[in-house]
Amino acid sequence: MLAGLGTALVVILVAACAPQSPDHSSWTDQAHQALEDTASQVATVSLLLRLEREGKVPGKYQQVVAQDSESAVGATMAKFGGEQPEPRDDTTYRRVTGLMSDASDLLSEVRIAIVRRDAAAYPKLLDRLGDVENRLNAAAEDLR
Amino acid sequence: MKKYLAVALGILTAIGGFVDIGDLVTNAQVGARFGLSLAWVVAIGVLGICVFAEMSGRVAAVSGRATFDLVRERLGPRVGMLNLVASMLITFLTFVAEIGGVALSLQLVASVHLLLIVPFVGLAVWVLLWRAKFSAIENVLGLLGLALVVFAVGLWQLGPDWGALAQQAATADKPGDEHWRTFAYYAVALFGAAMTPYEVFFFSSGGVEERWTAEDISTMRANVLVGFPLGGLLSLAIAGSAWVVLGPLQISVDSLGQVGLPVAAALGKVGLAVAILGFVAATFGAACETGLSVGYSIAQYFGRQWGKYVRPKEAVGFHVVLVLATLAATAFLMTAVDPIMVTEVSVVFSAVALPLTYFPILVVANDRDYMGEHVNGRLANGLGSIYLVVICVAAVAALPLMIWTRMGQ
Amino acid sequence: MTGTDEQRRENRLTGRIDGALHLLDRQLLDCEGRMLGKVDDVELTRVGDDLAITGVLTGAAALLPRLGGSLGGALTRKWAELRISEPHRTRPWRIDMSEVDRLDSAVHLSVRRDGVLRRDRDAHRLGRLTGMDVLDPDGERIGRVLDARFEPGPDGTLVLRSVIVGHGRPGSLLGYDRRGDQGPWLVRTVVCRLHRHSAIVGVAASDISWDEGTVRLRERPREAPGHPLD
Repeated sequence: MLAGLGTALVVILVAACAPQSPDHSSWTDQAHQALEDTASQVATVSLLLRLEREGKVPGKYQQVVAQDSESAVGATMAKFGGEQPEPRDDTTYRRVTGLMSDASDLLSEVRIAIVRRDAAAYPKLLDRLGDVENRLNAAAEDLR
Repeated sequence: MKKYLAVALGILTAIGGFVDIGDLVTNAQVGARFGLSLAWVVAIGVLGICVFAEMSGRVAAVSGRATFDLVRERLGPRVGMLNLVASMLITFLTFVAEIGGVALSLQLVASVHLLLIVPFVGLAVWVLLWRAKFSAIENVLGLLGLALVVFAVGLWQLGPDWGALAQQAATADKPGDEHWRTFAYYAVALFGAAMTPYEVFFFSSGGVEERWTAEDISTMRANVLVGFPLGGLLSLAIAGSAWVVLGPLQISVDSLGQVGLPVAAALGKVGLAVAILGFVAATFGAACETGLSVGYSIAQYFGRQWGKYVRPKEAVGFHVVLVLATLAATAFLMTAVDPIMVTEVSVVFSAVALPLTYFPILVVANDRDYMGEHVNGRLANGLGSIYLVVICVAAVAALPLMIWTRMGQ
Repeated sequence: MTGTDEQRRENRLTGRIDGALHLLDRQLLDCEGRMLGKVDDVELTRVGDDLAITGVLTGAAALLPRLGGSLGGALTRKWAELRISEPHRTRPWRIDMSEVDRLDSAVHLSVRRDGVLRRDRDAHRLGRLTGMDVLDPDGERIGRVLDARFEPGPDGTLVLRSVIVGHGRPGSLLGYDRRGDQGPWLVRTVVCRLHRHSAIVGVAASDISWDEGTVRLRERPREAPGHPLD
C-alpha cells in the first residue's frame, strides 16, 4: 500500500518535472486553448477601454484589470512555451507564439497608457486591440 | 414586532451571506461561457443547501448538538477522524480562497500588489474572530453583502432579451461551441459552490451558540427557506449579467476585476463601487465563517470548549486553532498562489466532501432519541434521500471531470 | 445544551441503552453546561457476575486505542513515549458514574468541571469489547461485537445484558436495529440489508475473554437485535 503510494508520488513528480512532450493532437489543443485565453484577455482590456470612454470605470480598477490581463497572458505564454512541439508543428508554433507576444506587448502598452491616464492614446490602442483579437481568433479557428 | 424584525434580519443576512468568493467566481465564469444554461444546477444546489441546512439547524435546535458532534457520534472516532481531516482540509482551502477574495476585492480599490494586502486581511480576520461578537459579524457583514443586489439591478438595466434568457435557463441550452464534459464539470463546480459544507458547519454551530430551542425552528426555517433561494437569485444575476456583457466578447473570467465589469457596463462607477463593497463584505463574512468552522469542527470532534459566547480564556484550544488556521491561510497566500485558482479547486473539492457530513446529519435527523417529535417528515426524507443520491453522484464525478477537462478548459 | 434545559430529552441512564450508540463519543458537559471532552471510552468493572458501567473515560489515552488498527496502536505507544517520566500515561482519565447526572444527546455531570478527572484505576473498556471477534461453540468466527446492550441493575448501575453480533464496524447499525420505522427508507433498507445476519446474544450464554479479545458463545444465536420500543 505505502510502496504503491510512494511509486505513484514519484511518477507524478517525475512527470511534473520533465519537459512536456505532448503528441500532435494534444499539442494542437493546447495551442488552441492558449490562443483563446489570450484573445479573452485582449477582449477584456478592449471592453475596459470602451467603458473608460464612457467614464464608467474608476482609474484604480482599470489599472488592476489591465495588470491582471497582462500577467495572465504572460503566464499563458510561459506555460505554452514549455510544451515541446513536434517538427511538423513548427510553422504553427511560430505563428502562435508570435501572435501571443504581439498581444502581450500590446497589453503592456495599454497598461502603461492607463497608468499614465493617457486618454489621447486610447482610440488608437482600441483599434490595435481589435486587430490583434481578430488575428488571435482567426488563428484559433484554423487550429480547430 | 420584535420577532418579525428578527426574522427579517435573519433572512436579509442569509441572502447577503449566501454568496461567497466561490459563488462569485464560479457564477461569473459559468455565466460568461454558458449563460443561464446551467441555472438548473444553481436551483438544485440551492434547494440542496436548504434541505441540508434545515436538517442540521433543526438537529442543533432540538438536541443542542452541532455537525461534528454528530459525525463522531454516528461514525465513530476512526471514520470520524478521517472525515474531520478531509472536511477541514477543504474548509481550510475555502478559508484561503475567502481571505484571498477579500484581498483581491481591496486590490480593486487600492491598486497595490496583492501580497501587500494579504497580511492585513489575515490580521483583520483574526481580530474579528477573536474580539467581535458573533451576531455583529453575521449581521453587519451579511447586510453589507446585500450590496451584491447591484448585479440584479445591473442585469435589469442592461435590458437583456428576457425571453431568450428564460428559454436558455429552462431548456439547459448549452452554447454550441462548448463540450458536454466541460458543461458537466461546471455543473459540479456550481453545485459545490452553492452547497459548500462550511455553510452547514457554521450554521449549526451558530445555532448551538445562540441557544436555539425547538421554538426557534420556525424562525430558522424562514431564514433558510427564504434567504437562501433569494441568495441563489443573486448568483443567477451574476451569471446573467456576465452572459450579457462578457459572453458576446468571448471573455472567460479568471480575475475578480472581470466579475465586476458587467456592473460597470450597466451602472457605471457608482454601481461598481457598490459591487466592490459587496465583494468585500461577502468574502470577509465568508472568511470569518470558514475560519470559525475550522475551529468549531476540530473542537467538536475532541469535545473541547468552543464558541464565541464564552470568553477566549475559557476556550483556549478553540482560539489557538483559529490563530493557527489564520496564520496558515495567510502564509499559503503569501506563496503568491492565485486565489482564483484556489477558489476553483475549493468548490470542486466541496462537492467531493459533501457526503461525509450530509449522511450523518440525515441519519440523526431521523433518530427519535435525538429529535423526539421533530424527526424528519415525509417531505424532508423524500428530498433528503434524493439529495443523498445527487450528492454522492456529484462527489464521485467531481475529480474525474476535473482531470478530464483539465479544470474546465 | 446547558444544564438549564432540564426537559430537553429524557434521561437515558434509567433505561435500556446500547453502549456504542448512546454513550460512546457523546459530549461531556459539567453542571454549568461547560464542555470538558468526549466520552472517549466507557469503563466496565466486574461486579459479582455482571459487568457494570462504573465510569466514563476521556482524553487521548482513551481515544487513541479506539482509532483501531496499527494506527491506533502506534499512536498510543507514541503518546506514552511522549513523556516517559509520567507514570500510567496510557491510563485514561475517568469520571465516576456517581458524578454523572443525566444522559441525553450529551452526558451531563452533576459537578463542576474543575478537577473532576481522576486517573486512579485501570479497568476493562467498552471500546475494547465492541469490535471483539465472536466465536460460535465450535470455535468458528461468526462476526464481531457491534454493540453492547445495558440495562439498569438492582442498584441502578447499568449492567451488560447482551451483545449484538454481526459484520462490519461497531456502531455501523446506526440505530436502525432499534426502530423498524426509522427513516429514510433508502438508508434503512441499505443498512438492514448489510446487517441482515446480525444477531443478539445474552452475555449469560457467552464467555468474554479480555486477554484473547474474543467472545465465545455457548449456543448459536437466533434472535435478531430488534427489540420492542422502550
